[in-house]
Amino acid sequence: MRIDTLWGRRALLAAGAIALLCVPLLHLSDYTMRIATMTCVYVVAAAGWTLIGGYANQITLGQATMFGIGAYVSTMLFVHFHLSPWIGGPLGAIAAALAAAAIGFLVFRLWGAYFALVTLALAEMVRILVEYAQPITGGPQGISVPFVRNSVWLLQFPEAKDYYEIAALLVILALALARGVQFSPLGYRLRAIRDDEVAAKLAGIDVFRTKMIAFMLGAVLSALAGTLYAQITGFVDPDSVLSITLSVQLALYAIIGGAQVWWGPLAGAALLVPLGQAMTGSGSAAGAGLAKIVYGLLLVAIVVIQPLGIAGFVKDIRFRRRKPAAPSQAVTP
Amino acid sequence: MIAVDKIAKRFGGLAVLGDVSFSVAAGEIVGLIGPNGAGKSTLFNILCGIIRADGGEITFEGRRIERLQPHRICRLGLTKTSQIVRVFAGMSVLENALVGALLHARTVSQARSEGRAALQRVGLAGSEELLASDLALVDRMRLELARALCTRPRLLLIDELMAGLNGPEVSTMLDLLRALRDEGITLIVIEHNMGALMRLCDRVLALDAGSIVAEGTPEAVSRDPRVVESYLGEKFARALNS
Ligand SMILES: Nc1ncnc2c1ncn2[C@@H]1O[C@H](COP(=O)(O)OP(=O)(O)O)[C@@H](O)[C@H]1O
Ligand SMILES: [Mg+2]
Repeated sequence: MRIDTLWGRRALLAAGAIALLCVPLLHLSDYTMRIATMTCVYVVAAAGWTLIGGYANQITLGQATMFGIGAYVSTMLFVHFHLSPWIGGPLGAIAAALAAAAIGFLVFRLWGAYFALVTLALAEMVRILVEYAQPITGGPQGISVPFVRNSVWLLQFPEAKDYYEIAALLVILALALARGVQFSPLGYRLRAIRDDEVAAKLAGIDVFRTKMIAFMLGAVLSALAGTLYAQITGFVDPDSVLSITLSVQLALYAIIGGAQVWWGPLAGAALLVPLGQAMTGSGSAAGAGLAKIVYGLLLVAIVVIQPLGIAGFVKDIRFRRRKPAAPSQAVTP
Repeated sequence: MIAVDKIAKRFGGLAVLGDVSFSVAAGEIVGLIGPNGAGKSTLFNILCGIIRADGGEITFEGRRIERLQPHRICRLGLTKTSQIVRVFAGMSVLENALVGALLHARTVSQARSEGRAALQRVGLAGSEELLASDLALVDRMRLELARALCTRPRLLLIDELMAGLNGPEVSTMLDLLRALRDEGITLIVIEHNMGALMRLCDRVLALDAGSIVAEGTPEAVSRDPRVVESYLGEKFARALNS
C-alpha cells in the first residue's frame, strides 16, 4: 500500500517533469514561449528564496543580491575573459554562496532581530557597489552580453524561446533540490526553526548552522537563475537584477504559491509572471491598467483568504480529512 | 552527573539567582521546589544553555558547559521540558518527536520510528498524524517530553509536567519517570505537587529568592521551617484565598 502510493507519487512527479520539457511541442507563439522561459527563470530564483524564507520563515528581502551576483559574475567573466557561462554560472553560484555566508553571518549571528531590514539594506549596498565599480560592471548603465554566435557551449541562442529546454531542466533540478531538502533532516530542522527557535535548540538543532546551509543553498539556485536571465536577455543592469523590486517579487512568488512547500515557487511564479507580463506587455494603456488592478486584487485576495498561499488550500484539505480520524487521548480533569 | 557551583543571574536590576550550588549524582531523581518567582525555571534555562549565567560554573559529566550553546549541551545529553510548553505547532505530533530523534538518527525513517516509540511511551500513540497545535495542553506537555526523550538525554530537566493531570494520570506519569530513571536517565523535576514529589524523588532541593534554602529527603524538606514558611505557607495561603 505504502509502496504503491510512493511509486504513484514518483510516477506523477516524473510525468510532471516530462510535461514541462514537452511544452514546446504545443507550438505556442514565440511570445508565449518567451514568457514560459522567463517563468522558469523566476521559478528557480524563487525556489532559492523558499529554502530560507519559506522553510525557515527567515523572510529575506535581499534575494536579488544572489540573482544579481549570478548574472553579473557570469557576464563579466564572459565579457572580460570569454569564459563560457557553463563555467561562469557555477562560479557565480559559488560567489553567491560566499556572499550568503557573509550576509548570513551578519544577520543570523549579530542582527537577527532585524533580519528582513538588514537583508534589504545589504542588498542595496551590493547594488551601490556594483554601480560604483563601473569599469568592470558597466555601472548604472549596465553591461551587455555580446552575441557571438548561436552556440550551446556559449549558452547563446537568437530567441528567448530557444532557452526553454535549458530553463525547464534547471527548474526540474531546482525543484528536485527543494523537494529533497523539504523531506530531509535539513528540511525538518528548518521547519522546527520556523515554529520555535528555542524549542529547536532544546531538540539539539544548531540553529545558526542550519540557517546558513539553507541560505547558501538558496543563493546557489537564485544565482544560477541570474546567469540564465543574463544569457536570455543579453543585458544586465542593477535595476533589473539587483533591485528591491526583484527581491520583493521573488518573495511574493514563493509566498503566493505557498512558501512552505517545494512546489510553491512553481505555482506562484506560473501564476504571477505571466500576469506581470500581461500587465507591462499589453498593448493598450487601458489593458495594462486593468492587468495591474487584477494583479493587486489577486495578491490581496490570496493573502487575506489563505496566508499559506495556494499550497494552503491543499494543506487545509489534507488536515480536514485527518482530524476526526484520531481522537486525542487527553483526559482533562 | 552534574555539579552547579555559585551560579548567579540578574535580569536588569532584579537578582534572580545568587550563588546557587548543588550537585546531582547519576541515577538520582531530584525534586526542585520553591515559590513562584524563586528562579527555578531560570536555573533550568541556565543549565541547558538557553540563558547565560552572570557567573559560576556548571560541570556536566566532567565537562564545563556554562558557556556552551544549547544544541551542544543537548548533544552531550542534557535537555529539558518547558514550563510554558514549547512544541512545533505547525508540525504533526510525529514530526515533533522525529525532530528530536534526528539528533542521533541517521535517516528520517529511523528518526520516525524512534519518534513513534517515544510517543507510545508518553501515551500519545494514535495521535501521530494530528497537528501539534490541535492537542490539548496536557498532551502538548507529553509531546514535549517525548521530543526530549528522542534526543536521548542522560540528564533530563522537567519543569512542571504534572500541572493539569488528574490523579491516575499523575500515577502513570510517575511510573514513566521512574522507568526512565531505571534506564539510566537522571532527572531533576520542578513540581508543585508535593504528593507526587514525595512518591518520586530521592532528594529535594528548595529554592527561595534565588538561593538553596533546604536540601534533603522529601519528608525532611517538607518539614523544614523555612520551606514551610516560604513555600508551603504560600500554598496554604493560596488555598485559603481560592
Ligand atoms: N527573561 C526574563 N527577563 C526578566 N525577568 C525574568 C525573565 N525570566 C524570569 N524573570 C523573572 O525572574 C524571576 C524568576 O522567574 P522563574 O525562574 O520563572 O521562577 P520560577 O520558575 O521559580 O517560578 C521572576 O521574578 C521572573 O519575573
Ligand atoms: Mg517556573
